[in-house]
Amino acid sequence: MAGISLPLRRLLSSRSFLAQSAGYAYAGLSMAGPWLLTSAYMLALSRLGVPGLSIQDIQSFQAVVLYCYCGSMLLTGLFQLVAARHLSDHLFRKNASAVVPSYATTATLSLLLHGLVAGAAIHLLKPPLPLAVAEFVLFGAVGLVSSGMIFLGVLRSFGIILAAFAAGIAVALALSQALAPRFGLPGLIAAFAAGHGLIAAVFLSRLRAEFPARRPWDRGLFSTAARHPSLTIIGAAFAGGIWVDKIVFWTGPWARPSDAGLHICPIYDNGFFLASFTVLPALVLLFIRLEGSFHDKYAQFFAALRKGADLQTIRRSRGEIVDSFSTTLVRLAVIQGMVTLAAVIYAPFLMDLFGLDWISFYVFRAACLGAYLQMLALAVLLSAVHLALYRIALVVALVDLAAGLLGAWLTCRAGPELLGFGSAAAGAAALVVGYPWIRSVLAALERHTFMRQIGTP
Amino acid sequence: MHVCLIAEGSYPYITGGVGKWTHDLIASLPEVEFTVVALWPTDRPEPQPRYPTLPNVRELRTSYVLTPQEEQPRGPKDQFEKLEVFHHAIKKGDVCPFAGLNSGVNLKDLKSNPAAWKLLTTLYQDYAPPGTSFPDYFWTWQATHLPLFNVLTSPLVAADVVHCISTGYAGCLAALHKAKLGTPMLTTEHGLYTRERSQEIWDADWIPGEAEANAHRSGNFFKGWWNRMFRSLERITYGYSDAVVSLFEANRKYQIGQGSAPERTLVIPNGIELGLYETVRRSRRPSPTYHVGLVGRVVPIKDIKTFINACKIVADRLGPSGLKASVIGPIDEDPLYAAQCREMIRALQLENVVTLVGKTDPRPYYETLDVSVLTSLSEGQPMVALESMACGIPIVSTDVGCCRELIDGRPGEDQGYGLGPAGIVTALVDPQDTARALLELAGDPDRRAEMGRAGRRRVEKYYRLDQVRRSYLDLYRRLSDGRHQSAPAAAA
Repeated sequence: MAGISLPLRRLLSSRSFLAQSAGYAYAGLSMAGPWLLTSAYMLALSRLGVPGLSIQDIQSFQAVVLYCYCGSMLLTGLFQLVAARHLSDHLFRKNASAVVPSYATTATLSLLLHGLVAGAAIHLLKPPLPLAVAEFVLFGAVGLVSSGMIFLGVLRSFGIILAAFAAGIAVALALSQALAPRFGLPGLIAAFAAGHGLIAAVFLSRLRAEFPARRPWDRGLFSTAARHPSLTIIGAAFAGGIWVDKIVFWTGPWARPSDAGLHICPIYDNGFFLASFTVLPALVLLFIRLEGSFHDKYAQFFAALRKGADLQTIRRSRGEIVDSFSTTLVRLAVIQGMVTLAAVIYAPFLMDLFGLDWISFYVFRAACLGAYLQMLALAVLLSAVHLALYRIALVVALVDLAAGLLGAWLTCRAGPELLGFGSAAAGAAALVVGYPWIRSVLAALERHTFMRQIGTP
Repeated sequence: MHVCLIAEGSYPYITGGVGKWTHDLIASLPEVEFTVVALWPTDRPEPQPRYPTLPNVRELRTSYVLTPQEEQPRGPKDQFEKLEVFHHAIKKGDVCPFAGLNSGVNLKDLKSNPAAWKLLTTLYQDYAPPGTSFPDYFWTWQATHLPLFNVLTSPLVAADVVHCISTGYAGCLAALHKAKLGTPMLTTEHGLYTRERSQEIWDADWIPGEAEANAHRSGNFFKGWWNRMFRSLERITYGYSDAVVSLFEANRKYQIGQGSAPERTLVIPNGIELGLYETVRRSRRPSPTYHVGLVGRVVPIKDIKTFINACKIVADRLGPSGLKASVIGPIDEDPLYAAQCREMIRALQLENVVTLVGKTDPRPYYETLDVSVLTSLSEGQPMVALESMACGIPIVSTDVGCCRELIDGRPGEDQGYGLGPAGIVTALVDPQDTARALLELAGDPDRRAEMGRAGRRRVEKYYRLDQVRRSYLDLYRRLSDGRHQSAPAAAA
């Protein structure tokens, strides 16, 4: 991992309140910019409407987008961590010419997977041809964007990501005004797909401009995957953990079909969608802590090893990593806790504001609690990945997925007012398993670092 | 009688020297069955035996000291505590706790057991100077200890006697036989293993700590560590041995100085089968050109470069046609060194004078050699010197091992007989001195003949194979018979 970018580091290290605030805002936009922009686009469509389209059409469009994002995250999860690790290894070896070939291989693999799954889904659901084509193209475009975000994320090109999304969403909005009245729902989807196509194109052109390549492909990606098979499972389980409750609810008794033929669960989706925004401050903090202080302490620890420091210095460096990790968790717990509390207190007001029903009120409260616990579990998981403690990350991700699946299944049968508590229980389970484990490994990090090398030449 | 013979880095994979001595010993004792345990660095490439398997060798086992042995049963819970006690004791010279150690350390256990880490860091804090690089400490610990753990996991052989041909890892494995099975233990040292390793360690540029040592004007901690480890293995070997054999008196004194009980030490010199060299001696004929030869492997420890340089000086004096020099021995053991020697011969324009013959039977060469030369940096009791003496060839040798004893006679009895010198002793790494000796003998055939006769008589009297054979057979029997009476030899 490369640590946070220089501009952000400069802002955060400043004593000025304004600079610090700007730093946090920058980090927030880096972390959640695309998400906020996409949400704003969706909100704009709902509130302003689209000429020639009914509210049902817009809801169908939202269902298609939701399914595309869900499917793409699940598929990208299969190679997200592998590609990130592969790229980080290249960057560590200063092998810049391998960036674009790695991206090309990843994007092609992503396109193939997305194409296969989209093809299978269309075969099963049998939508009308224009809708099928538009959905197929959108799914492929989202897959390409997901691949590009892996690479630009590792390269810390958050500004490019944000700019590309702003341009892409603007184009989607403009085109939707032209295409939707003429082609209906397929036109709206095509406009959104075009916006994502533009985002993917910006990503590719940026990568090609910055990293000249000498060869088209990089088969080393598959070697990295073979060397670290747990990364594939961690990525897939992590993505599965995020979506498993929604998938269960889409197939449960509270779901209903949209006009596009896709099942959605509005009583859960609306409350959850709103609650998910509560993680934004904690997400920013996690990003800054993990990529800033934690990364720096970790880098110092390994610098001490490389420079041949004495044991006392190495232990001191390890202690600083432990402190940084604990501080991160405590701050996350406090800040996310305060936000969650505020969200729960103001839940009735928020329900009124967004025009949601009583059942969404219950879901929202449960989802806020779930977001809180999932955020803490995410901190443990990402810390484990950051430290290459893949076994811990694997178990945390699998526990989260399994508990999420069980929790969603149980709550689905228990009643609508309990929807969302499964995700909270899953986050708690992952936290209970992961936190003491990673804490004990960190407390003996130098032992693990040295002793696992025994027997290597 | 069943003897477990443990050889490190020699028999049956290396020719000459200790390897040949071991082969000859086994061949000369058909009434004894041997299990040979060969300690060898790695199985890549797999070593090929250089000697035919003798009928009295029951089994040849090869243990690879640098190949991690993953599959080992887990040790007892307190194994690392015992290791700590052992480490503190051995630093004070006490080898007794060695007997209480677990014979194998499981690699997985080592990686995962916090007690192993505690042991490592405790020893670091107790013994490493302040500020010592811990990564360097860790890698040195691994380099010094993993081979040892591998050796100690070698399956033990139930035999009447365990006989190691050096200290070091071989001696440690033999001591384990003594400690765990109570097998009587015999150690034979040709050179002095620890001293030879010490030389290699000080020359090594891959051992860390040199910059710190220079900066603080102190000794290199890590080189010191390597030396201390080999000295500890030496102490364990001597401590557990029921009998310690050296080839000559100086080495016996060294062994006593390093902790060997004096009453358990004895000298059994090398011996040769005189009959094998009788025909050669009778067939000896004058060479048309002054012919000098070095019988030995083309490796740095034989210092072939000094021999080539000496030949250059002699050839310059006698003229290129006045000298013929042969290096008779394998040239494939250190290809880089052999290539350097060839390059040196070319650079000194000695192509028509010095020949690297390669591995061959040296006896045809002994028929025409006027002088047999040794320029070795280290030797025990070189067989080539005995062979040359048996053939009546005078020797010019560096003052290493017991070469002075072979040339001038053993202190006391031998010198009293007045057999006279069998050659000339020269300084180490001194081509001028070797050349001076060769030039002295070049112009004096009578002196060469006289030295040759003295050498032959000395070998007949003191260095016959049948004497060696009898000595070892007696020793094996005595140790085997005393198996149940003798107390453990472990002592500080």
